[in-house]
Amino acid sequence: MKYLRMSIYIFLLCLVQFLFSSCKETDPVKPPVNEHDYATDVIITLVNQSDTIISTWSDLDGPGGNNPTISDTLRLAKGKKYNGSITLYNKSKNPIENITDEIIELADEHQFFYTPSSTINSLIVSILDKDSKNLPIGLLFTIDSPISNQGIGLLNVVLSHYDDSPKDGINRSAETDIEIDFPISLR
Amino acid sequence: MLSRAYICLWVILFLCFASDICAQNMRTISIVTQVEKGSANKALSQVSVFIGTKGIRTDINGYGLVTVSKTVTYPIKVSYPGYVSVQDTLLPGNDTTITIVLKEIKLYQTNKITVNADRNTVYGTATQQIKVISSKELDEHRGQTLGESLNGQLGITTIQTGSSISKPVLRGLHSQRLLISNAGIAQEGQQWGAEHAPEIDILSIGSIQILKGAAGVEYGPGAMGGMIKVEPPIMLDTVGLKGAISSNLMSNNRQGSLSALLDGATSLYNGVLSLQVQGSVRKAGDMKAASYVLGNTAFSEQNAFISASYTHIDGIILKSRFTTFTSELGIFKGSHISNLSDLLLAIERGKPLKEYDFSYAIANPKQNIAHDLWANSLSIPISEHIYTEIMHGWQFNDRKEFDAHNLRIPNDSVIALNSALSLPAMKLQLVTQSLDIKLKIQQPLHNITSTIGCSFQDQNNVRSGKVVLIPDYTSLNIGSYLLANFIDKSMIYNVGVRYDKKNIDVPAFSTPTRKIQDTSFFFDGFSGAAGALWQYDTNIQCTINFGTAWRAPQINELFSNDIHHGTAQFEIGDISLKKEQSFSIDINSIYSKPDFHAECSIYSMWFDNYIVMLPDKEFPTVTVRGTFPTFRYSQTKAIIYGLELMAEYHMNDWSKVTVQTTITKGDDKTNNTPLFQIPANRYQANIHVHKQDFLSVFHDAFAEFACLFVSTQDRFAPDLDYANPPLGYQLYNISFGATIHTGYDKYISCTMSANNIFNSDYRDYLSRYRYFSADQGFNLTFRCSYSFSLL
Repeated sequence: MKYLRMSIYIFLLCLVQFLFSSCKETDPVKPPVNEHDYATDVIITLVNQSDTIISTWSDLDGPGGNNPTISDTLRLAKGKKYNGSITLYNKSKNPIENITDEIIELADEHQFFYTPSSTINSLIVSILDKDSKNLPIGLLFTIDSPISNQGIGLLNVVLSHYDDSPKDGINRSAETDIEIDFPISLR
Repeated sequence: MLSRAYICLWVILFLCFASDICAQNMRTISIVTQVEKGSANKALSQVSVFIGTKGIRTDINGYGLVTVSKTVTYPIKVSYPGYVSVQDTLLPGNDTTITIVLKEIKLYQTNKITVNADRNTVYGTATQQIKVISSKELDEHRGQTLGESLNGQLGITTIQTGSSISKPVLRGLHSQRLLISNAGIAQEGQQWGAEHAPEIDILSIGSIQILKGAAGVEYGPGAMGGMIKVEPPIMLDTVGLKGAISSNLMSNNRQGSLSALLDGATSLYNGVLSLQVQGSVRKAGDMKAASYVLGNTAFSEQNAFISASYTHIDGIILKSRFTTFTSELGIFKGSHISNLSDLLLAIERGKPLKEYDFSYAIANPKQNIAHDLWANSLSIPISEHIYTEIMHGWQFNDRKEFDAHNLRIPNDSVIALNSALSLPAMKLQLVTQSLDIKLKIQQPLHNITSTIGCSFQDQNNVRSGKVVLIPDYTSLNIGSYLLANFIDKSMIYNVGVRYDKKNIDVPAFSTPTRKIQDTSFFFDGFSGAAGALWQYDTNIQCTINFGTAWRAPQINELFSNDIHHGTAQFEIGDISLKKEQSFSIDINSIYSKPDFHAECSIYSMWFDNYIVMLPDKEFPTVTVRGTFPTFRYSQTKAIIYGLELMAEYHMNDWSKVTVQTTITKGDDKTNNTPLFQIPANRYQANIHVHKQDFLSVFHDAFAEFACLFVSTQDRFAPDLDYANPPLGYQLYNISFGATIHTGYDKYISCTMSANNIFNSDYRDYLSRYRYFSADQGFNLTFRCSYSFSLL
């Protein structure tokens, strides 16, 4: 008799378990996750007296998925000086977020590094803008193209973020916010 | 002169008188201990009997003598394992004889076939290797984490992420291939992550059992490599109230911990009700490698548990235990990598970019983890040879991970920044319910013990935050099994089979990179085990075990699609993954004499559809942070095999030498490359000196010197890693300790240990920080505990 009662208890426990698994609350419909905190569009604009060159790097779906696109090669003429600027947007947000403004606000923690690849290493990139400590930022710069060199290569653009290591104007930090290669042709 | 002689005389006289008074005042109590056996009682030897503070153990015929005062009333306490404890009072009087009749707690054990029967009641598969780490052994080596405390056991290594996160690796298998159970319930957290450690308070562990080899039949899919069973402290089974306070202090990260345990039992309706409460707190600062501090590696923990157990004289045992674990731990910022070139620069640097000052502060990136476990069990003897056990478990795992990146806030608003910092980038809440029912049937006539069982497990995982490593899911696992052990003279055979099915349901979700519809997965499979144990003579024992086990792909293996900041890889899951099945063989032999003990095991595990991450070199992932190598979860044929050797020689009754060797190898048979992250070979030697009584004050005094040699892992696939495995290393540790009795059932135990005494700068192949920093440097640990009895 006693064990009969126990068996009933076991049976009830099983039943409770099945109830637990069957009557689950309906999952709430979640809003899709579609915002990033990083740039989806990076635009380089180069201007001289006669020419305006624009190249847009764009990765609307963020890391993964479709690979980013670059609208055009930066086609530079030999022996010219270009005034350059870089602007960054996050177009996954609504309204579109202008990250350039944020970098200006936190200029003391950021610096851009522009490094031409070996085939076009006679290009000279000079940073014009300075932060509050008189260290370079890199949102505004000039590119001097040499008379002798011609060819194709890549311009490596790095945005270093300094919050753990101090910014000294020379070295990259250990935390890279942006690293993009823009194709360049020099004719 | 005369006066001095006089005084002496007085003293002598007084002493004589006093001793006479004492002698007259004392009486001798004869004790007889018996066990109830039908109508006649049988003598029971080796029973502990306490009269007041005087304790004796009865002899082979169940007799004992105690001398106590005639005028004092003493409490009598009698206890013997497996029997209901007896309490009584001894009233003042003359010499007398007390007969104590003990009643057997009707457990399912038959004590006839000693060693083997024990094995076979504890585990379904009686022929498998089990290593038990006792609470005393644990106390001598109790580290900062469960993993670290197990490290050094034959066949076990750890995946370390600094000093606060450590996952045990058994025979090269870990995470979803190694089951960890706490109080009988499979621990379910987010164990798919290599930097997600088991959420178990090391200070709340009573003992640990390591079961090697596939244990999937009784414990279900997942126990492919074996099982680590964490057991709570043994509860008081005799009426009384005991307590213990213990503290650990560590020099390396200036850690302090305090834990208090209260353990009480009282008799209730023909049984014993035991209660146990424990609470512990821990605070640790930044970890130090040999020559520098690792910033933001501090952690803090607050844990507690309460257990209740009721043992009825009929053998019914009801247990309930609630455990809560809370931890906040910092992640070394240099290991939270933004992009590949940062990682390569960090590897080249090999140490942190800047010098950190020691601190207890925990900043982003960090993890906040809470884990609650409620475990209930009921075992009922149905008849003399049949008993049933029901276990129910409820677990809630709450994990919040805070990112260091992307904290650039528009308009530089402090409030906005703080609120962004306080929001986890990923929050995972997993609720697991489980129910296991088993029936053990003994047929003593045929020496067969069989177990029939079924188990259910139901999980619901809810994710929130910006990072989508895994989606929400629910899963249901149902399994049933049959196990049988057969004992024939010097042999034990066992055979078992289990069938499970598992459902995983993932509701539709969308991220910028993909849209996933409602998806359901269904997996099912068989697990099996067969083994034999041969006791050749009292010294030699051989076992052979065959097993097959399987597991369903984990949720991250199906759905990953993001950058892994620890390794700078873009990891992509595959929803078409099939179940992974293993086949294993394990041969173990033991040679054991009083002064010499040796063990040798060889094993091999073949895997079909072994789930690994392989690089997809043709499609690197280009992001705004640069290009990351793409890794995809794929399935291959794999083999893991190894050798474990151990020998222990007692040079005399107080000293012994132990040597052990663990060799593990793993190969990806499809691609003909070594498997990633197989632990390097390890060799260990210990000298242990032990004195039962030392200088008459210290009991259980010991000193140990241990050396560990780890070789360089030379079997690796260069494609799978950015840096070659680190060089081998040697570590030397010293520990010593003793217990001091301060009264009846009151004692203080202290141990002092020094790890990495030469402060060597080393990196383990399985350390997650090996790219960025050396492992922990010199560490001095001081443990002290005070145990006392209140009643």
